[in-house]
Amino acid sequence: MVHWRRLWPAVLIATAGCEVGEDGPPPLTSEPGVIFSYPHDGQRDVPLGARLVVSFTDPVDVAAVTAGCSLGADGGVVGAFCVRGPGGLVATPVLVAGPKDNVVLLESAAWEAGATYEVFVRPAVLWGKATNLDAAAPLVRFTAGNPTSLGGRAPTVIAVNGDDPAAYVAGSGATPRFPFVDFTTIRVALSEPLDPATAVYGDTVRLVDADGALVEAALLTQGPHLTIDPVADLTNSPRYRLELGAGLHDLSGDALAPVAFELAPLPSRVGGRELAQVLACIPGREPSYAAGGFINQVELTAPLIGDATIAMVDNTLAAVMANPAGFGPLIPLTLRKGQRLTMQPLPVKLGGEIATPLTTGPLQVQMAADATVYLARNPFRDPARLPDDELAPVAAYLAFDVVVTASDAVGNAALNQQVLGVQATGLARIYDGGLEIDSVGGLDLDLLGLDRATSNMVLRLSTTTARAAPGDDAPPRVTSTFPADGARDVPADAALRVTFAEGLDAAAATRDGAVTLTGAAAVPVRVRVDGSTLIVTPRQPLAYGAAYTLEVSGMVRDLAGTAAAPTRLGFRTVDLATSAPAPLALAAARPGVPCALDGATATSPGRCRDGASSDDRYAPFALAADLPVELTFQQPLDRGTVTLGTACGTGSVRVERLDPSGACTGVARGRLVVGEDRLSFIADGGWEPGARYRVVIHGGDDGDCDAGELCGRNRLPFNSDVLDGLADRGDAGGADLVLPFVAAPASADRYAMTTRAWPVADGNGNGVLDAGEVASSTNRAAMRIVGTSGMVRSATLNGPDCVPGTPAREACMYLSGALPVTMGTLQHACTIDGATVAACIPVELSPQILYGTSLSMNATVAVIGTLSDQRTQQLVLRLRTPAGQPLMSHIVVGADGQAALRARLPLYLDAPSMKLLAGLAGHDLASKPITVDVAGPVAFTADGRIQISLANVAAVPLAVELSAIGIGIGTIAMEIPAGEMKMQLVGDAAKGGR
Amino acid sequence: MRAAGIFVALAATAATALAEAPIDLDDIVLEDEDGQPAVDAGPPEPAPAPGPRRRRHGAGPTPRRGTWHLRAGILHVTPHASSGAVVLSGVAGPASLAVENGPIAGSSTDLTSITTPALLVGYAVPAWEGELGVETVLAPPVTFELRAKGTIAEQSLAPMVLDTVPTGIPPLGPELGRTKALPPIVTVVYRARRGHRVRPYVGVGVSYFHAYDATITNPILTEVATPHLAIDDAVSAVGQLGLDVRVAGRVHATLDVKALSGYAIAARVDNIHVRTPAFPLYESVHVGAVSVDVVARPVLVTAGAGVNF
Repeated sequence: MVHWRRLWPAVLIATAGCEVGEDGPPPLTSEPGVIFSYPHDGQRDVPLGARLVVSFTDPVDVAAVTAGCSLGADGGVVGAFCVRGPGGLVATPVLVAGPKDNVVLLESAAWEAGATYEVFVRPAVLWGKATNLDAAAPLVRFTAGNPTSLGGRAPTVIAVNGDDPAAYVAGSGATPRFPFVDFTTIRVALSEPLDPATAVYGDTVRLVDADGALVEAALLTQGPHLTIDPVADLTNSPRYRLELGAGLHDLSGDALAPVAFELAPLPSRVGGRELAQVLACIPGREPSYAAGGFINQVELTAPLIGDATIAMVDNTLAAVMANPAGFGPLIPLTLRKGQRLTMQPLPVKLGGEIATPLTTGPLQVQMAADATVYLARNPFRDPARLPDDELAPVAAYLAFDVVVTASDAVGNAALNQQVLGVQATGLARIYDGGLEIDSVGGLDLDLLGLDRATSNMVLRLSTTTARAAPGDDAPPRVTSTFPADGARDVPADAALRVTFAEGLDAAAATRDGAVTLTGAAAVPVRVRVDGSTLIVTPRQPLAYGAAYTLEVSGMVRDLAGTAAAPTRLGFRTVDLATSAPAPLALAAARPGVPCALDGATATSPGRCRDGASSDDRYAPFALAADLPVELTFQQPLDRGTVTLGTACGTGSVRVERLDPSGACTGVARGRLVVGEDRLSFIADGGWEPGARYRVVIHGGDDGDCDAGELCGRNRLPFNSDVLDGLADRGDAGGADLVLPFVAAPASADRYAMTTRAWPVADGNGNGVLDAGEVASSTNRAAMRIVGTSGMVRSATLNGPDCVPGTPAREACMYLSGALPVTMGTLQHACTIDGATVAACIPVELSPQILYGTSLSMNATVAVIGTLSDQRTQQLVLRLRTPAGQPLMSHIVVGADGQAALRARLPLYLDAPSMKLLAGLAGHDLASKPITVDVAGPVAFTADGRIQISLANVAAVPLAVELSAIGIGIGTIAMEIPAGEMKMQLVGDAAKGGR
Repeated sequence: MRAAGIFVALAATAATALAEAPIDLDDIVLEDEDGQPAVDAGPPEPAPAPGPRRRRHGAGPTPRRGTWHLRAGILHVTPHASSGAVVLSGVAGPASLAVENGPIAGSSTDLTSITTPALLVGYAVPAWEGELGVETVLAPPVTFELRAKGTIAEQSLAPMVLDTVPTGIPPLGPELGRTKALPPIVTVVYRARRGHRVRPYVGVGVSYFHAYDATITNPILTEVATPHLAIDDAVSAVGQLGLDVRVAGRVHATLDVKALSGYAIAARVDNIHVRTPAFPLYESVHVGAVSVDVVARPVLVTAGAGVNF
């Protein structure tokens, strides 16, 4: 029997027995461990200055990370965080960064070109709790790229779209890491830089469809990178084939073995439509969870201009997402070309402290080709777990090519460039309803053609639905040209350059008719796009003294497809016509000096032949292992006479290797680049430090241009002995010019460049301003007669008044020449001429020769009478190295707060061909020492070349002693007034050429 | 999912569950006030003798002991549930690319009606001349099905990522889940016209709603993980109308209607993961949680027959 009260307990029991439903197993989230690395495992073509980044889920054990590494007895790596390269363990210290001390950085590694590195990260980094770190095997392996010529070896393809090239070779069995999508830009990395002139789309580089038809595409080349960006997505054929032909050469002239890659693009579209996305790049001082550094900025490491951080401003980019269901566990995206990221200006201060007039204004970083992005499963995450959570988001891989431009015209001319094959990796986190991709990538930027700045970029791109990407319908605007419109002294082999404010569509610019050059007739040209610059190279040398017109048509378009306004540029080439040709002579040599030598000793290669016996002997010549031999002449060469020796004692130009006794053991392997008036020899693989070499120029022993002799375009042989005269055929030839040198180790903190006087009035180098030559207000010295003595009663200079504004009459001596200089790094508390300045950059001047045009004077000499039109003939100003010491100058902060060069130039003045009274009278202009203190600003030409404008800071006295039959008859006192010796030294264009 | 169960709640049910201890009526022994078996309990005796315990009004004599009644029949519960919009919360990770925290416009939930056997058990207290009693409903555990309505049923919960990219997540459909409910109801009932063949009655009382074994059954919501459905308890006032008809002897037929003032039920579903067929990169997304506030005003109609004793 149940009492009625038991009903309620029954109800309660029923209630108590009710449990909510049991949950199923929750999806698995991450455990402590590594979540990201840059470079990624297996990455190829890593920039040499790229930062190493490894990120973790949790704060790292700083003590373990920084404890250092060693090799165990078994050769294994001992340590929590270690990097091993071909030279053993990399000793660079690591830093811990990130929003929660979860990122380990190795900032200042200088990876060895082409070398493979292993990164060992052990569980101890995370206090032993990491679950995805191996105790023995490396976490990451990567291979550095190679931006320098290997020489003597044929170039090879080392990566296609970041993968093993075999992945795109039919039947290889290899598969690419990421699928090839119809919008994927094709990026090829090679083992060494290519000669860009040999990369011609449709010829040496071809992308063809399944029917063999050429696909319209833009070809971009830079260093060891080729980028092929089809004009339209590859949707019209199931297969494509990329063919790289044997016509592709490296910088040493070695040909690529022909190779082809098969590409089968997967469709990106969903139902034929694009999935558009908008990505915002918003600046902020926020550390990246993946990369450690602050987001949306580029950190630049460059001793030349100091370290700098350039922040991005607010940017918006349009992206297209491929069908996310079509590629398994990854999602491809693309960012169409032409889109840009705006960055703050780059401060261009030499050494980071000495301001220059070069300003960049805001920088623009544009996509030069369609960028490729993949979102993929995090490779460090246990595949059994869900692909994504806040601690270990999915991974992101970015590949892109950029054009960097500056808003300022001169800054743009100097710094615009393209950087191809940039690879960045990162994490794609979901945050606040958007996708946030934090990535880090390294890229090397060219700085003024002098240095490559290591740049590490941390980029955060966030999806947004609140913005639209800006369009670009403004036509591309020309910001500078070389030559300038109306120029009259253009080298006949000049690479013509037209620089725009933004990147250009290479496919459009290289179409027939887009750019034309017309002289007396149309001149065939080769057009190449480098950054925002059109480089137009005539396929044949231009005629001297001829007028040409360069026309850029509206077929040239920017990366967004907007046509350029037609541009027309008229110029004349340098006029070499003369009735008094002079033989070819050297103006500058690196290494060495531009004259044949004698008087060698055990400690000196000697002094210029036919100089005074009291002349300074030169210090031994040396050349850094990574620098080319450069020989600059005072007039154009006859290219046909340039023959590089292939054995000891052969060729008109020889670069020979020597044994300790100085005997030739063979020729150095390398490539000779022949310019209009310059020869450059680039040694394969660089010079061997400590080894002895010599450069020999053979001009024969008479005035005839015979076989095997180097001659000028006027067919007069090379004159090695300028102090014996350089006026006419009779001065041509002479003993071989021999410049011995020892190779020195390459130095990363010295910047070598050859400056040359520009513009040059005496283009044909004969010491006379001929009718077709153009006088210049620079590169000239105004000579003034200030008195006479002895039997010389009076003297006057003939010719136009060089400085009309003065009461006296000055004559112009037009200067030409070249001056190799080597810049050092910033120093503080420099002592210069007994005074101390806060900061300076030492600049070593190479002891070269400046040539001056002839001066004419009339003199009245007692007894003798009036001597009319007595000519100095071509003058030679030799820079000295007293006591064999390097000739140093300094870049300091000038009076205007900008960089200025100050130098004391000890010179020998020679007038080797001067004959007074038909040789009956003499003079002392032979090894006559003078000293000129010069100073002037370090600036930039309108077309972006470094320009050092020097002038003498004080009058330079010059007393010319006249004699007859060895007896002094008097003196003509002259001077160069203060400020009237003007030298404008200009560096080469960063993109090559003048 | 959303809300799934929620409604359940409603259940205002009336139904009460004897889930784990079914009552055998043969075991029930009724006692009089003295604790003696009320073997003579049953229909009122005719013409009781006058005495001090005579009721003040009414047709029959005041019983000496209380009277039990038992009716077996069919109970039909119409939940009359209404809900606000289903509200998302805790949206994070990839799901946040597609949906935001907050109410889902046009969404709501509902409960299905149920019909179940039931017992009405009552006890008329003698102090009120047998006209006043207490009553409850005994029934097997009831299971409500939770239904999605509006956009949540007809449209993809997260149709697009970043407003542009289809997710491939299909509409949930009407099925959400189910829950068992235990909403005991106790009413105080006044039966008029004692001694008459037909006795109407009214009652008021209270109901306590308790859901259990709440389960999300939607295949989309359960494909990746098992969501956790929680439904809060609730209390409601009850109004009751009924009619007792003596059929023969002790046998009566009853029609009983109860209306609840309303349960305010809060329901929440956690641990919602949804597979994203159009985004195999992520496999599935963690949607977070959904909640819904349901007001159920159930009406319980019981028709049955039984005995008084």
